[in-house]
Amino acid sequence: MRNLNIIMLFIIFLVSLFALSYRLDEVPTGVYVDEATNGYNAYSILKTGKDEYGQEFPVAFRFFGSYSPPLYAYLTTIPIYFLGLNEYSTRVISVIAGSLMIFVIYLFLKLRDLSNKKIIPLLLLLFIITPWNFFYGRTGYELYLGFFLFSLGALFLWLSLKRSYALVVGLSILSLSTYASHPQIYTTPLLILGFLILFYKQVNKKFLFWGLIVSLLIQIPHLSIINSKVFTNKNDLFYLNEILLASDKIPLPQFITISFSFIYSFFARVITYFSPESLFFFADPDPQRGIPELSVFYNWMVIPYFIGLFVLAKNIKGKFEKFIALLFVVSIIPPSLARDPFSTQRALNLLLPFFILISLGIEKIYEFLKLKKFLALYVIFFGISLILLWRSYFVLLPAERAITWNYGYKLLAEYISKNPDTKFLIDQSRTKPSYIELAFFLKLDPKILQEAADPKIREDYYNSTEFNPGYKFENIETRSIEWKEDPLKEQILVGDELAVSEPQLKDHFLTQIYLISDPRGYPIFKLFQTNPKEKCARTSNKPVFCTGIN
Amino acid sequence: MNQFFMLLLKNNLKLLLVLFLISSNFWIYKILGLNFLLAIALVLATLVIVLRIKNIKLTIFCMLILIFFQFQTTHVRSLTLLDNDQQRVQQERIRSYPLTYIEIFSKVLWLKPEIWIEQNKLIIALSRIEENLFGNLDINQYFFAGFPRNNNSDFQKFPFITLPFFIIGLYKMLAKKYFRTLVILLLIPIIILSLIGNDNQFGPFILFPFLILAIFSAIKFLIAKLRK
Repeated sequence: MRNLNIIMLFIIFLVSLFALSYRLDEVPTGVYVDEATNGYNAYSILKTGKDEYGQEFPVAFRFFGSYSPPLYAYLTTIPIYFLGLNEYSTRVISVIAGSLMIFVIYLFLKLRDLSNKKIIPLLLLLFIITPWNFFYGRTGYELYLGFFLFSLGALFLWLSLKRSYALVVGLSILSLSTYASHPQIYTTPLLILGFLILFYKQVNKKFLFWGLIVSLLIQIPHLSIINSKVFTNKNDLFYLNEILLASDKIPLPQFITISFSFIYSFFARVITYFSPESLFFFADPDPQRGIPELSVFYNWMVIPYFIGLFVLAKNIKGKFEKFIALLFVVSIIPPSLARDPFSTQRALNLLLPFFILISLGIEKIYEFLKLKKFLALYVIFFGISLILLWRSYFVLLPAERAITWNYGYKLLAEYISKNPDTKFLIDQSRTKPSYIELAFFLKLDPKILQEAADPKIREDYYNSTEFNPGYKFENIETRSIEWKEDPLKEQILVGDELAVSEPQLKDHFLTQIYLISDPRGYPIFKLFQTNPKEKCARTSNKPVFCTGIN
Repeated sequence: MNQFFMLLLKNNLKLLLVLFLISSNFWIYKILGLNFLLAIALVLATLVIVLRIKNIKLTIFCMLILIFFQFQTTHVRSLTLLDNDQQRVQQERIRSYPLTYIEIFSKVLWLKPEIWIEQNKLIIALSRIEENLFGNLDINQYFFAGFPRNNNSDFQKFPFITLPFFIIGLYKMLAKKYFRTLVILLLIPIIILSLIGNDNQFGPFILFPFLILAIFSAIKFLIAKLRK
């Protein structure tokens, strides 16, 4: 029986590996800037031991003026070493973490002593195709890895109530998770603190001591930069202005109104994370962080969700239920302190307790229906969910979210590499930083980009939060178009649909020579050839740039 | 005689508490400002429902009146009709699908998922019902005026400090298996709202008695617990 369980688990692991890596290089279409940054910096570390700014093995990577934990980029060096720099190698660490999550979920459900262990494989299959899991399990940046390590650490904490030595492993993994993704920096200490408050009497003090020692040792690199801006650069996400504005409207002493406004803003967000509308219908307002027409869970899951909530509330004095409630509390605090109404990224840790909660509900439905009826219902809903996922993720997302995922840069890079002697100016007015996308797709020698970066950044790497997307390397320049001088230089201007208007096209004698469109046919980039000779010849008041142009 | 007075006092306290709950929320004043008759009907129906919750016939009668008003004041949107922009999106989506077929013994069977899914009236209707349903299940709509999502149609309904009472009350009703009450006051109104939509300037007021009842039950429970 035990062997059968292991085989079954291994098969589900392979299914997850297949599902998460299926057409990984094609969907999501394009490479999002965060993916390009992680991938290229991993490539840079692999080739030179330095990041894009020339910083040797950073403790936190400087991405566009803010700092990201480094573990994902370091781990990505391995697939890049074997597969080269591409979409697949950049995303595959998330795929592996996503597939390993199967074991974490399995152990959580198994150790809870579910009365119906038969349904665990069915729940694991459901977990694979859960939109929140499926989406982030295929993205090439650090979030899923952080979530996986957080969940694994939480599992070992839970295990430590039965096997004390697991506490050392759990605390160490949780400490390591702070190097994986930003939310863990806040969530991990909260989890450890909450766990000790709830279960201190049952914790083995010797293992707790050693666990804390190992965790602290793991934190040494972080401690070395504790006074830098690495840990404070995301403070502007807090809704301080909103609180101050709201408190001004209440005619009471300020300390009361500010507290009241904070409580209101905070709990409104907490409730949004539990709202069925957010979980089963709307999801993230940011189009890059979601799948069209799908929320983070399937809509039918609202029923097991309600049942699960009721079961959890009813048995809240139980150890397991207390632990799940703790996971909810610690996972919901950081995202509720940020201004977005529902951030699937910052709240990714909630996937674990929410899925367990839904599993509790499904277990109750199983008990009510018995095996045959349950299986029939499961097959129907699993089938519907698969169709919904296929439609939303593999059909609608590549078409509707192509621009959001920076589709077009690959084609632009191909065009640039075919014209090595032509100068390209990429307009940076409205687009996300282009230099990193082009460096990624052109597989630019990291030394060239390091030389192009502002050398001042290296001098005070962990405190340089100002970001300038303007770059100049090889035959490429990225900045806003200067209309006084750029049309007077022999080059190709690259911009989005709004970069060059019809009157500008005529006034500056530009010729559109190439168009890059998204899969639906909407323009992403337009390429314009300048004509300095014509421009100078036809301009009566000749600018200084015309000197030397015949 | 003494018992009679105690009962009267008890009932009066109940009445006072329900009246307080009805009059201490923003929703009823919004309705009162827009439609006096509806506000009166809502207050009376809520009073009767909360105070005479065991009288099922009376509860159903009150709910029928409220459902009638809800239906009359809602701009009912077709579940299947698409406006111009939705038709454009539909056409774009149809074009996004890959060619899908199955080959059986050298015979090609063309599947048309784009037609089955995107143009299926049942699916369109279900997605509208889903939109309406989850719109009504949004707790922020009732206790935080829709904040932080902030839809134009949202307005303040209940003070947010009543939310814990609502949650306790709902839990107690479920724990005590008051399923009949939940079906009449919560499930049926939600099904109706899912079908007729949320385009109503007064909000989904057929849920008003249920919200008051849940808060009332929680306060009653907490008072009883404090007395112990």
